[in-house]
Amino acid sequence: MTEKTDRRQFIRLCGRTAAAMAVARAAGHRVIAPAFALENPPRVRLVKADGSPLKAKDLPLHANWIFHYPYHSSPALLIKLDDPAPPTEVEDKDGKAYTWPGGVGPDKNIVAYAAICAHALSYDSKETAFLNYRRERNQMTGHGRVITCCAHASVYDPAAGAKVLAGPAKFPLAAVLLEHRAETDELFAVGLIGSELYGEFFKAYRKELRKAFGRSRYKKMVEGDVVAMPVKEYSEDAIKC
Amino acid sequence: MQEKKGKGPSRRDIIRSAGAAAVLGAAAGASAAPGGAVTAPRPPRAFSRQAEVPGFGKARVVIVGGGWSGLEVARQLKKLKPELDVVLIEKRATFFSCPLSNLWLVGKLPLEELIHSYTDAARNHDYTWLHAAVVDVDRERRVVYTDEGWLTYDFLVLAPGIDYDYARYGVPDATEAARLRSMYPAAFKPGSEHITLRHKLENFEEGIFLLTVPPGNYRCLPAPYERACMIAGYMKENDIKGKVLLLDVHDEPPFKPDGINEAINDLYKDHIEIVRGVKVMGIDVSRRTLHTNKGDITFDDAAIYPPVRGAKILERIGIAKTDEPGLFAHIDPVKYHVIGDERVFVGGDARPMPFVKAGFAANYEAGHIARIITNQMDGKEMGPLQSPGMMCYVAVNADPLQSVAFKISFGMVYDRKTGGYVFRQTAQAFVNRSRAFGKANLQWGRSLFNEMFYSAL
Repeated sequence: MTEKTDRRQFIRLCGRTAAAMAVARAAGHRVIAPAFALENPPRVRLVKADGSPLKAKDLPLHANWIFHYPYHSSPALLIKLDDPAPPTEVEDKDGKAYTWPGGVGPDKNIVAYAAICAHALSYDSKETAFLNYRRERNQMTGHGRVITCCAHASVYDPAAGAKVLAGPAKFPLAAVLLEHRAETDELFAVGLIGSELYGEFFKAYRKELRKAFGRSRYKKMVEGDVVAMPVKEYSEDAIKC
Repeated sequence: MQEKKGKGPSRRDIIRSAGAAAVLGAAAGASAAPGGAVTAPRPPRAFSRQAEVPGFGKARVVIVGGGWSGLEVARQLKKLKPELDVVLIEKRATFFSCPLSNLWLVGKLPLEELIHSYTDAARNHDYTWLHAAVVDVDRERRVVYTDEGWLTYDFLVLAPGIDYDYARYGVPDATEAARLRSMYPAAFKPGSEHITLRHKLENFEEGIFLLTVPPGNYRCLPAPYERACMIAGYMKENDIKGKVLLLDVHDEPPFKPDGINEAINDLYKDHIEIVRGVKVMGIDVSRRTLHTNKGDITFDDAAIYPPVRGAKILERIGIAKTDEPGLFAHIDPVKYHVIGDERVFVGGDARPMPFVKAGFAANYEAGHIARIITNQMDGKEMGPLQSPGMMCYVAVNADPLQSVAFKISFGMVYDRKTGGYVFRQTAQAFVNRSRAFGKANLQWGRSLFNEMFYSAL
């Protein structure tokens, strides 16, 4: 991972990303490939804090969970929505359209997004979770069923590729591509599409990320099993706004 | 737009401008000189040489003022059109943030959170920082004169901020105002004033520490209340026998104050006294006394915040609205250019529109101004500014840090009745102070510092 966004990382979709996107195509949706997809994304299984696999049925409705993907230090929100989330066309930071492939799981309602704000890079840490999903109508933003970043009140729609609904953000959160294995009901994170922000994220928070995740480990990609847990258990303060 | 490369003002122009400066200089010298013997000062030598900035042969945008507006205009311009030659002129050597500074005043935030490097901003966003002070602008020939030499522009953005207007506090005499400013600085123009205020607090033994809330659209409406809370908390924590006396010209603060009032009642009953409806009519610096409509009020130490006005440079170069007491910039409130000059824009707290004079507003507006300029280069029209709802936090307790929140949107909307644009601002208050909002308060600033100085986002 270089500091500046490397054009070479804006590559053709690799196998896993293409496969995750193909689900949408198979469902009869027009699929526009993203200009950015993470190169060689890791495929990791989501597990609970005790190490047992996190099954789709175990994830509570309206879950506001967190896991780290694609790097050890980069948080992502895992959400189970009320309704199936169909593939949606959204635009990246350069205004280029791409298809968010929709929710996964038996009810097509499990989604995941980078918990790093597309406005000014606020993120969910152990101390504070600035980005959270809430079902109830949100007192400041007036929206319900949205992801809100409380640093400056950007509001994203998790049922529509994290499209911006309000606030200063100009483009969606990066989307973590999920895969659901029907036979075992397990969930896997397999890719990341949307807008590349990790170079800037590392640059902005290097000091604290190193401290929290290890001098070099913070920018290494995850592998194997990755723990997912409720944000309110992970963070000291999950900010409501 | 091609710059007239290498061609500066003619000799005659230089002489003309220098003559004007000499007249100004003489006037200033006459009032300041001890003993009274005054000779007209020689014209500044800087006028005769070109400033040392790289010339790319592309259109050049010069930005005057490296605050929350100017920094963001520069960054956004380079994002929108990387080929532009962008020069940010700032006279301070280091950026010092006014937002978040109340926490630093009472020792609850390290200085490194507030100060940032213009060199970092310029190198990370690929523009030029000219460390210089602007002395004049020749709009006819599109030349900016600085103490480091002159430079030409295709577009000019002025973001010079505010100055204090002590005359409206009944101190019309310039020397008396200067004395007041050094004895009891307002600390709303960051840097030395803030450091002085911090030293005052550190040395405060007992008695009344006076703060004022001025009339008009002053910089950062909740800041004096936030500062009162911070200072009161400091007194409480350090067992100082004193209180903050907050003289507020308003009967009701110019924003929804519930959360702040609640904090004051809960936490600082013994350390804050607010007197409302106080009009300051004069100040006796030697006697540490304010003459007000409610009688004379004395204090032991103070940070006196007078009404604000547009930075004096606006007046100096002839673009201030001289028919209004604020002397803010005379610009088109929708298109942001100086009336009659579509190459010169004004943003930030120097604007005449009644938007909140606050960092986040200047920062958001700056992106709009940058787009107006690049659109104009491309021959495209730009609609009026309409900000999204954005958060702003006010700290009411320093330890543990607790804040209340406001969501504010502002802009200009088309009015069918008049067929013109009218100003619109909405604000919503979230009054429950919390540690979570305290954290959001810090992140609010940190993430914007990151944008202005470091991130290529």
